[in-house]
Amino acid sequence: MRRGVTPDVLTDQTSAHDALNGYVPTGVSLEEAAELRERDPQEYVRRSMASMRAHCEAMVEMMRRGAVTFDYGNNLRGQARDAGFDDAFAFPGFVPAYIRPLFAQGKGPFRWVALSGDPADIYRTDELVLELFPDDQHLRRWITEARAKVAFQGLPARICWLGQGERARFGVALNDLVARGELKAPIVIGRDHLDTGSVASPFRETEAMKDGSDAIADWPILNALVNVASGASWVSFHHGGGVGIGNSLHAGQVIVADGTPEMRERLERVLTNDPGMGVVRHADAGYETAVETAREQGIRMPMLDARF
Amino acid sequence: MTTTTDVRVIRAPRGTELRCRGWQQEAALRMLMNNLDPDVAERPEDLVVYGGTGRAARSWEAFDAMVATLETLADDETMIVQSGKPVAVFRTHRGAPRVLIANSNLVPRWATWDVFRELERQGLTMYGQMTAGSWIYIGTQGILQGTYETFGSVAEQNFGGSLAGKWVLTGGMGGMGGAQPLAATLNDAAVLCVEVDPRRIERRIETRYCDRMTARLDEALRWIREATGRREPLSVGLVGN
Repeated sequence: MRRGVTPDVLTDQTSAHDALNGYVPTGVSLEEAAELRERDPQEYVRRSMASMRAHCEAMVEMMRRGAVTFDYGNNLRGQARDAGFDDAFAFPGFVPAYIRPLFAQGKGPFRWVALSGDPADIYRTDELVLELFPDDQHLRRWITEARAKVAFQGLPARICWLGQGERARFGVALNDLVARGELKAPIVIGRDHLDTGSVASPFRETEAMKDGSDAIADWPILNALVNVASGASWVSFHHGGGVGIGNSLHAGQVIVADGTPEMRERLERVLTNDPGMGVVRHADAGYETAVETAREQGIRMPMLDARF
Repeated sequence: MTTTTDVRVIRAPRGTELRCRGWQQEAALRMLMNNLDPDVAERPEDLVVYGGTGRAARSWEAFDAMVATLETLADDETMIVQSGKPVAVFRTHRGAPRVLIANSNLVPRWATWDVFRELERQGLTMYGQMTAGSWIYIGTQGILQGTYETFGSVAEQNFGGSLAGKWVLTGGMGGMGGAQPLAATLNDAAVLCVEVDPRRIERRIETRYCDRMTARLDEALRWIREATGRREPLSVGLVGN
């Protein structure tokens, strides 16, 4: 700031959600922080909060100087507002600004795991992604770099964001690979509960919805029910997640590509309807990209034409 | 009988030999176990997978009961799991899910941490996080990928699809934030990440998530200026607060 330099993009992922055990106030070393935290926790929190206020004020100032600024889900804005900075919410949260446009296309964190335990099976599926979506440079970059730099933990797994239509195509193609014996064992396909149509969470995934439907929790319940009806291998419905008790409800599904014709049908159904609920949720809230996606992908919404 | 004081190391079976009556059940068994693999879980001895107290099963007794149930579950049966404990097996049909799970749910008026922790203490519920109690956590790859998509979306909406020649300023290189340097350089940015704890930066340099480290702001800014000038990706961890 004092040097008069302004970044192009500005955000923050310090542990601002926790003023005592997470954030370290400015001007304090790690050792001093540990000592102060022990000796006078109230004073520590006071200094943390004051520091977060200054931190957030500096971010708003840089935003006014032209930096593309967003909150990265650590509640820095909320803390700064509590510390008396009225303008703390001048910059947006990352979900409404940058994730929701992806959600509106049914895109979300799609993952798969090789039950064989053999990394070669995942490398074959990496190639399959590139074969199916050859024109997506962003996806190609991810798959290539993930293969080079990401170490597997437990059973080998891969993750990438795929949208409405793409998930079903890829799932069916994975099942065909298993059926042809190109993989040593079946593949498990699942996703985070943080996905397009599977979570109601007004502090994160459904912050500032266009139609004000942030706290409506019918959507994740319908998502779970649709996945049961469509024939997922296991379905879950949870409360709390990353934002805590009272703050969110969310659903998950996992489906196993075992190479059988029966699972091929179920994969096609589940991987169409699961993200489909997300497209519908966002189209219903008035997001135009979601409306377009619903139309392009042939999702029937009985009251869509009446509204748009 | 196993007790909770024993140190148990759980790891999913590999290969094509089945312990269960079909791949659908075998998949649930392996993914339940994989969530407790010491390479995957934060505190496997307490059944905690990630996110503070997100568990794969309510207790070791419940874990053992789920494993035994999955091993004998038929192709037309469904195991019902209530907050990490298997409570029933029902005859359903082949096309139905083999497992149905509800975790941590409370009636809205009672949905507070105080009530939850009291019920958890009484052994009536458990915290399922998102993918802990639903057996599909895959470790930290998901965090890197999510951050990659976020920066990609920033590039798409503000800079015509690429962060080449752009400077990203951020803070925090802990469990979540530590993915930022690599996620930004994968989008071709020059990224400066401020972190108070030098050990966290060192760890990210060792795993090649971050390129360079310094405690001098002027040096960091010079590196960033040079990288943006050449439109080259670069990540710098700056020790500071």
